[in-house]
Amino acid sequence: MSRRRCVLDLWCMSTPTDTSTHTDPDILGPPLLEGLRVVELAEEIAGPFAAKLLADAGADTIKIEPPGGDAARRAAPFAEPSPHRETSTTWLAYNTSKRSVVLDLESGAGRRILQRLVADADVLVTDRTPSQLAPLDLLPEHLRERYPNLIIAAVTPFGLFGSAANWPSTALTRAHASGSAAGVRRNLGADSGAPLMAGAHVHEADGGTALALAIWAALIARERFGHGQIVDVASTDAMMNMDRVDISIAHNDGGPPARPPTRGGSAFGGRLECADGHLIAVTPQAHQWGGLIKAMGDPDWAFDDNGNLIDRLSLGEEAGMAIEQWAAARTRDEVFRALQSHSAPAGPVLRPSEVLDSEQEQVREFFETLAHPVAPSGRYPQFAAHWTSTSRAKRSAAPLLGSASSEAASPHLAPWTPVQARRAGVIG
Amino acid sequence: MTTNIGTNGANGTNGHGAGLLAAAQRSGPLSGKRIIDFTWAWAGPYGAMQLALLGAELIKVESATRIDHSRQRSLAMGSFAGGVNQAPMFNEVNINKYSIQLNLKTEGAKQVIRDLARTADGAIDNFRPGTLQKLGLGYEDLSQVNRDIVMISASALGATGPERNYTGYAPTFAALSGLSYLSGEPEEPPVMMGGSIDLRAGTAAALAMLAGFHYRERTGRGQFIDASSSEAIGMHIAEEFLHVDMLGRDGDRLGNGHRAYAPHDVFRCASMRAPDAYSDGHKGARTGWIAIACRSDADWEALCSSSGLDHLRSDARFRTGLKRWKHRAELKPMIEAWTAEQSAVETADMLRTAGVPAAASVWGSDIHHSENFQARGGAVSVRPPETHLRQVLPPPWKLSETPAEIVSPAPRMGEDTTYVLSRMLGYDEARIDALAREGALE
Repeated sequence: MSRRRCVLDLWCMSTPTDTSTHTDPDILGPPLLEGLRVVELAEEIAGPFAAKLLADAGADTIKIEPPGGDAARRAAPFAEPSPHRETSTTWLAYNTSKRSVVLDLESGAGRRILQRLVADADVLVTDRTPSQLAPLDLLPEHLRERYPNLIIAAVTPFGLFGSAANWPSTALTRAHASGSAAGVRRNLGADSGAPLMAGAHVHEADGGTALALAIWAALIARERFGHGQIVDVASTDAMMNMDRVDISIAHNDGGPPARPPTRGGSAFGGRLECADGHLIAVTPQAHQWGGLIKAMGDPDWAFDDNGNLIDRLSLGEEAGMAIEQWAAARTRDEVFRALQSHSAPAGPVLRPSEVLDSEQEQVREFFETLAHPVAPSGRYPQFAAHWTSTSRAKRSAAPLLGSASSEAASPHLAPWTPVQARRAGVIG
Repeated sequence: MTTNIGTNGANGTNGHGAGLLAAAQRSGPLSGKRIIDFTWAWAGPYGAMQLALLGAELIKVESATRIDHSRQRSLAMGSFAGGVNQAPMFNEVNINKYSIQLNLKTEGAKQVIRDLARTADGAIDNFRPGTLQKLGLGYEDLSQVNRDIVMISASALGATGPERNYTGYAPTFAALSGLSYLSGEPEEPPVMMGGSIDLRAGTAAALAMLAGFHYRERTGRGQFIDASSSEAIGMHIAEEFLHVDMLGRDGDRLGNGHRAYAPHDVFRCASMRAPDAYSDGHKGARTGWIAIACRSDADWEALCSSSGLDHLRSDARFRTGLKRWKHRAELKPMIEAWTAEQSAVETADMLRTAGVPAAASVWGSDIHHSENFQARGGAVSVRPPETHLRQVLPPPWKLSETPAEIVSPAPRMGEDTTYVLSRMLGYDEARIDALAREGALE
């Protein structure tokens, strides 16, 4: 297929053509997805996050936006006091490294341009349900017939098929419908109160990572077997899988049994209040518990008359209180370093600002500062892995609304010129 | 609809029945790919399982000298009373895998790994960085015998940086990423997060590994991938770091709330389902909760008119979106006075029909019983050796041409040792006996 050749051509252009150097580990190869073309028809979090992961890996990603822009552009908070379509932090976070093309899909001309962009793409990422895709002539099974090599990747709230495809929903109701919010609460003990969403947009992002994972699997299948396919991710399926262990135990075993006492982390783990905030200590294994005791300076209560560690489950509340008092007299950092130096797993509850400042993440270059023409510069996280033989793709901040309309759509505008198409409202 | 998978016990060469062997013949995206799986606990095994569901042959390396603790205990349950082959936690994150028992401290076992690496496409571990290197089995070593191998090490904080040797579990990954700080009710301390964090880290590792395999298909190049489980959570909350740089402050804990919408919360109900739903042996929750989100005046009016809360519509405190948000603390008990008389599942259905985003907050069997879950294919039944039939969730994605398949429950410890050595590596009986005598197969 021509796409494949194109990819290899790019590869040959970026390094010497002598094949012996292609696998020289000292020469970094091209970015992961260089030469791949992605069209995104999606809004808010899940679909855009999946496409962003592809775009950040070097895929040329065209984001189709309606004339008013992705709804995420209107999501608070904004980088400045008054709302501005370029400065929503949610918008900025989930749309790096893309190009924005505004198309009026209410018009036949707009829909035709979209068809041509899709025909030219390797991957279509969408969050539209079948009833929304049908009027655009983008039903997955039709696209599958028309473009056998295309990967049609959909992340929808409840899946492309099923009984809930047209349910009204929001991030809140999806997190609860999936079991994911119940999972957050259950982890704190079965009777500790109402089911609870985790912070930020993490449940919604789950649909995005699941879709990106499946797209990469489909890309491998395409390289090996020469065909595209339909990828169907229900956001709620992605979320519920994150709790599959405890959901299974609840369903199949009627459990879990009562949680062991967690006071001060004296059993298997817990939250401690230090002088300057909270810290999590988790010591399920015997040697980790021994490390915690050592970090505390081997207090007498932890040992029996023969100098052996007492089984912690028989220690009772006093042990937990002693750990709490020990932690309360110290900073998070002091407790963190003391526990980790004795192989006891622990982590301070860091504010995002503290994560940004941590030496660990600075050394690892987890954050990259990206400039934006309207919003302030910001530090954007990388993917959580280093591919050590691969060049990182050059990333860019989220695109201005419609900033690539003319350049990306112009080959497909005939008989109009970009100026005519813009005047007619077909592109924006 | 459910599918039944699994056998009950060993049948010689392959104790989990014919499923794994048959799967190897089909065309999953990774069929024919062999991956050495050194992972343990939850995050790494779940990541490796994603690759197994995509058709790869995952050979999990285990040892009685270092038992995977998900065979023995969990943070939520404490010690598991059953045997190492009966732990439900272990089954959930090790489906479709082979298990070989090897004591990696012995020279014989190391040679087995090198022989496997020669025939393998990838390897995955979640040890502390440097652990495999110390055993002579790191990327530097295995790429000597197979220079195209793709190897990922997914550690707590990554293989570089001053904290590279620190250890952690799901709750500490969440704490170090910033997510814990943002999770919880506004007026309460941040909450400790649990196992779902591990599975997110595992998802990121699997994605990174797939990207490595795809890259190798395109360029012929293997490589080492250094992944951090804490960063895997951090990359899911990118906007929170932008808040710091662009607004000059950290974000807030919102619980079930929203920055602009109200009502936007979860409300206690009389029960999960109407009483007659329990008559057919349904074993779901008795306590019910319903999540309701109003994004607009239209949602609010639909909620009021379909719920018997019509009197709230004329209440001046709730007339606009902004007013409802300001008075959300007063609004909550008024809505809850109504939901407390209702069942969650049926009420959510009724509200959605009226156009209001609503959902029963489900868990466990209520997920399995939900109509959409069933309509999308339902659970898969597996019978792990030495335990009872279990219904497990299918993978989170559906691929039309290369569908994922659950073909085998998790293996018993060392279940496939002989099979791997004789069938995959071609060792003869004398050689296997010698390994056993050396203690390599413990």
